[in-house]
Amino acid sequence: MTLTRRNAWNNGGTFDNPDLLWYAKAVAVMKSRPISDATSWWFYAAIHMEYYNTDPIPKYDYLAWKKIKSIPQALLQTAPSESLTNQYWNQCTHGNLFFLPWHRGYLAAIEHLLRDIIVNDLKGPADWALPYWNYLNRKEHQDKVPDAFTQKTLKLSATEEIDNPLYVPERYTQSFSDLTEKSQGMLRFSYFSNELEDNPHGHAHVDTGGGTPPLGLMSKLQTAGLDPIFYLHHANIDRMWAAWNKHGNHNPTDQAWLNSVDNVIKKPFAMPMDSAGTPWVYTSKDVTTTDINYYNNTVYQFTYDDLSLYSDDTKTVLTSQEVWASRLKTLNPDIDAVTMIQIPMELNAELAGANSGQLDLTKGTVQTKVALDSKSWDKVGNTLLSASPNNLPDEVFLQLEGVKGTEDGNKVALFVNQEFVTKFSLFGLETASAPDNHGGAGLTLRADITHIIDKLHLEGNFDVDALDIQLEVQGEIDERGTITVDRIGLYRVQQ
Amino acid sequence: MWLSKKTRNSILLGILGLSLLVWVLLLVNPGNIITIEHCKAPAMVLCSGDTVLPENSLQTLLELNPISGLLAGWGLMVVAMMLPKLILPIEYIYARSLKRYRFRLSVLFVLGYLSSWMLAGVIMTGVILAFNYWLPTSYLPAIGVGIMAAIYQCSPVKQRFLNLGHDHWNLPAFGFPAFRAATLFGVVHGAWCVGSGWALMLFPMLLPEGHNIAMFIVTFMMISEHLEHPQPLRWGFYPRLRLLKYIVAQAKIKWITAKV
Repeated sequence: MTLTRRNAWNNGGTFDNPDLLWYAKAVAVMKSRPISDATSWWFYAAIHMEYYNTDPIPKYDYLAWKKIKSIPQALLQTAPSESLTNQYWNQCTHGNLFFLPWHRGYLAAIEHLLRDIIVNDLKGPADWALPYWNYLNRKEHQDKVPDAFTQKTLKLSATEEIDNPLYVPERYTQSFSDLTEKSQGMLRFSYFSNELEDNPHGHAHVDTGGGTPPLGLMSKLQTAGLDPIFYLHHANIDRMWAAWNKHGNHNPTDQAWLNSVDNVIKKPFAMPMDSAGTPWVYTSKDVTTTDINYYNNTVYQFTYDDLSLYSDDTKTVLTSQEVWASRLKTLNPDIDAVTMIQIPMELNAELAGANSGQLDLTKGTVQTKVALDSKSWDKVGNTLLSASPNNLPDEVFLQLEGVKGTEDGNKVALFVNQEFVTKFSLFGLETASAPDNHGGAGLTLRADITHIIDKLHLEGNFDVDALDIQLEVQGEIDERGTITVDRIGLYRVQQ
Repeated sequence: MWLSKKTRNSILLGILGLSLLVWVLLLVNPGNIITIEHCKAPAMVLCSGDTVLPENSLQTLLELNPISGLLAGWGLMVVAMMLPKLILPIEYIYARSLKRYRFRLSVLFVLGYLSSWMLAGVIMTGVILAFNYWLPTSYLPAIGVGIMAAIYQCSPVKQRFLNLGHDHWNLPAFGFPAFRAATLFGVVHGAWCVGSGWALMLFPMLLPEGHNIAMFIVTFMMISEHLEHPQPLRWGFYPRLRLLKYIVAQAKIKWITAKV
């Protein structure tokens, strides 16, 4: 049976939507189980990441699970066995190309578990599937948390009312206006995955949880899985991946990705299939499509009721082909109409400039210069001069390297030569900065500035020694907060 | 940023080729540079030149195993065993450096890295000599160090050093600061590597027999644990099999290519 994941906003995003009603009832069952049970809500949240065995830094002390008021503390009393926690907890992968496949398997496992409860314990529909929350559908005002997640109680009958299992008080939702779907127009998986992970994924996390202290559950990796909206958010991210594939874009084919072997992976991808913790172990190759190679050699099939590439038709978003065609025509007006451009999938980047010295963003706004290496810069200029469909010009990226600190709820806006480029989410910053978790490398944030370089070229201002960079922190930073950037690198990507 | 497949393959083949070359040299062991030699004859024999030396004296040991030779052997062993561990940091240096600096910065990084191991080698060679002086041709030192290495293997201290080995330095892009940073990155990376691997390195050197195979196993273990993701600091036994998985994955590539 192919399951269909449907829009959470159906029937107004209330409990009139049966997908949400059954979800709430099944979540209540999972939430009633102790954390020692591998099928409990708490155990599954810890598979993503946890502050149960791990202590937060003092600044986020209030997010330690044993201090979160909405968790019934009695259910946290007995810890699972060490072998279970070693195998399953703190698996989530972020900031690399395994982000999408790991989360697809995670969603399938919890969806399967919830459906088992719905069908066997609650006698609900056998075709229930996890709904998705498409905050990019602005036309129909879906860029807010559905009502079923915000009301404090759930009426089961005329006489019976319970605490709403989908509501958590630690959710301080802010505007979703920064969300974009630029990722959907990108042809290369590495561009697509990187962009999708930052926006909408990272932005939606902090917009839902809140960016100003105290942070909500969704704003930290270690607490996000506790909020029932988390799984609907990730279903939407997964939907965007499926839509991207459906529209002719391809996943990586290298063995390292397919077999999930890379030192960025913390542990083998594994999900518990029952309360004793029987594992389903998978790799990327098992989840490259929505027909998953699942537990016990079965196929787990699902789809989405909407696999449109774009949701927000209030904005014009161009595909990569259209962007390239327009770019070539602008750089070289003599080119005839461009129909199909062969864009190489192989990436080959080279540093062409950098700033010097670490940047401290703790005060809010920082300006610096990215000095250009004349030899590399000339190469960029030459490709712009000879741009044609058979001789594609370089792309140029800025990369914020070693972004470290504590301010997971903040965002940073990037300006180049006084022109706004993008806004980065710092979701996961503190974890990425911890030496015993991510090797202390911090976040790597990347922005395509090709259009700015093209403009310099077209306006005859290409012959410069440096670019002016401004970074603006968007939220508040308290006295214990830090944000630093080790280096800003400028890279040319040869085509 | 993204390196082309050609560049990554050049780094891989260059490093593995150099490591393999040194492995061959070690296996041939010209002039017994990597083994401690002992007099096999009865006491008071002519072991070196025209000098009559007591069989188990320190002087005999040093005559047969000059410090310079021991350190040369140690250096070669480090190159053979450790160079493959540097593929990822060298890829990092390539990805973050100006194209014309890449090779030079990588060489400086490797030299910095080797300097840390050579410094450790002075101490460790002394330890090896001392054991060979007091307990010549005995398995006891190897057993003792083996037990210590097994305990250290499960310790949070070792994990801390392994985690630190993932620390990738911020590299200035231009001029002298770039070269200085790459060298220091190598020295510090080497220090973390010594911290995590000293016990494992000592073990094969103390074996009276079979240290080549022990070196090979230790190399496999050390590369494998270096490929693992940083872990929380606590006591525990972690099977570190990432290298095996890489090899299996690569073997599949070859199999698929052969089929096509």
